[in-house]
Amino acid sequence: MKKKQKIFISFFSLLALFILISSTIFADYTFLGKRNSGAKFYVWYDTSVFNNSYEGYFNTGKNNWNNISSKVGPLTYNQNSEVNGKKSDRYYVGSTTNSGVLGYFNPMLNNGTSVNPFESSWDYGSIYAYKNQIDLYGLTSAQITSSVATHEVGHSLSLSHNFGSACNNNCVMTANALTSIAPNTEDKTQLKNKWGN
Amino acid sequence: MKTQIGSKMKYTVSAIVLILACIFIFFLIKLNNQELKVINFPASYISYDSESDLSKSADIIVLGTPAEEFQSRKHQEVRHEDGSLADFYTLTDFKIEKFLKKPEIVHPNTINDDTITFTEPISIIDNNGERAIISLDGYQELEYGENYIVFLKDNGMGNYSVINMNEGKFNLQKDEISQLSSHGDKEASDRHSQIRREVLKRYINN
Ligand SMILES: [Zn+2]
Repeated sequence: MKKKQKIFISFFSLLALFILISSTIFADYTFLGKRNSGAKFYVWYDTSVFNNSYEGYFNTGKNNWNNISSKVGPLTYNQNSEVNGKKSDRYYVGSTTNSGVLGYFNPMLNNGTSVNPFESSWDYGSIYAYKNQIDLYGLTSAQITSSVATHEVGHSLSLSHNFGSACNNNCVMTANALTSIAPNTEDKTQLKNKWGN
Repeated sequence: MKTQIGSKMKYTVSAIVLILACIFIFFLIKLNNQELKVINFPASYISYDSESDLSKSADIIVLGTPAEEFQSRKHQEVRHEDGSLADFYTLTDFKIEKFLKKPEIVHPNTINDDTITFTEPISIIDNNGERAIISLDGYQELEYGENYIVFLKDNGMGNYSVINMNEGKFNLQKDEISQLSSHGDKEASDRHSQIRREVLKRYINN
């Protein structure tokens, strides 16, 4: 009896420990919503992207998410904002009144209604890079590529801000620091967590 | 007989009218009190991890309270030529109790008597026929009737705006922890509490 009890107790404490550890290790930093047509789609650049010579940043930013999951990418540039009757994601360069804001992602339904990505899925999205703040804070090319372009495209692939210890303020999807890197192991884990291997 | 049926009819009709009126009033009240839907856009921004970094980077640090309810403030949206949402913010009038940091020259038109006007990264827009609150990265507006310490920075365009999202304004009375975990992440709330403690310690306790 006593032995059985011991086994019983140790089994459940092990189970509790396992749940605790796995919840910290496998913390989910993705949106509930996602792009309705999946993660292989076309992107379109507004003339503001070319006028400000940001196409290089966006090219690298979107290509950085290729070859991680077989379900994600390639995100292909097309000069038409609609391909085969489907809306492409739209990239812009603009300016903002909000100090220190470098860019944002706006997920929308086909009729242009914005949705909350934390709650629901979308048909297409727009990404703005805010050049006035990027210039004001003197971001390097590597930081624009990583913290603005790659980061915002990451949002369009359903990745949310990563506050976890596996990221440690040092992955592309951190909100707490500027980075100069391509997606690292933790970014890739979250992408696969959302879309599959 | 005839009169009996007549009065019965009258009762029934009045009862139906009364019920319809009640339903109508009920929906009217409900419509009026309907809370606006909140859409939280993910954003990338310059972030500060501590009170000292925030204090160093802010051009203005001010203690005070909003002059108006959020819904009454000036909500702005900027549309690109193709209609896409290029920028948005709210102009907030804030009653100054005390400046904790102030540059020698403050932008004109931002201070009027005891009020400073600055921007918050949140707005109310017409989202295809439905009014909605849109915010950057879960930012929550300064609440009317509450006292705050707010960290502001010159945006390079003649305005001051709140920096560091929710970790750029701190409610003096309460830790807005539960409201701020809009992403459901404990780490972000802990971060807010931590910086708030540092801010209160430096600017309030001594
Ligand atoms: Zn972000």
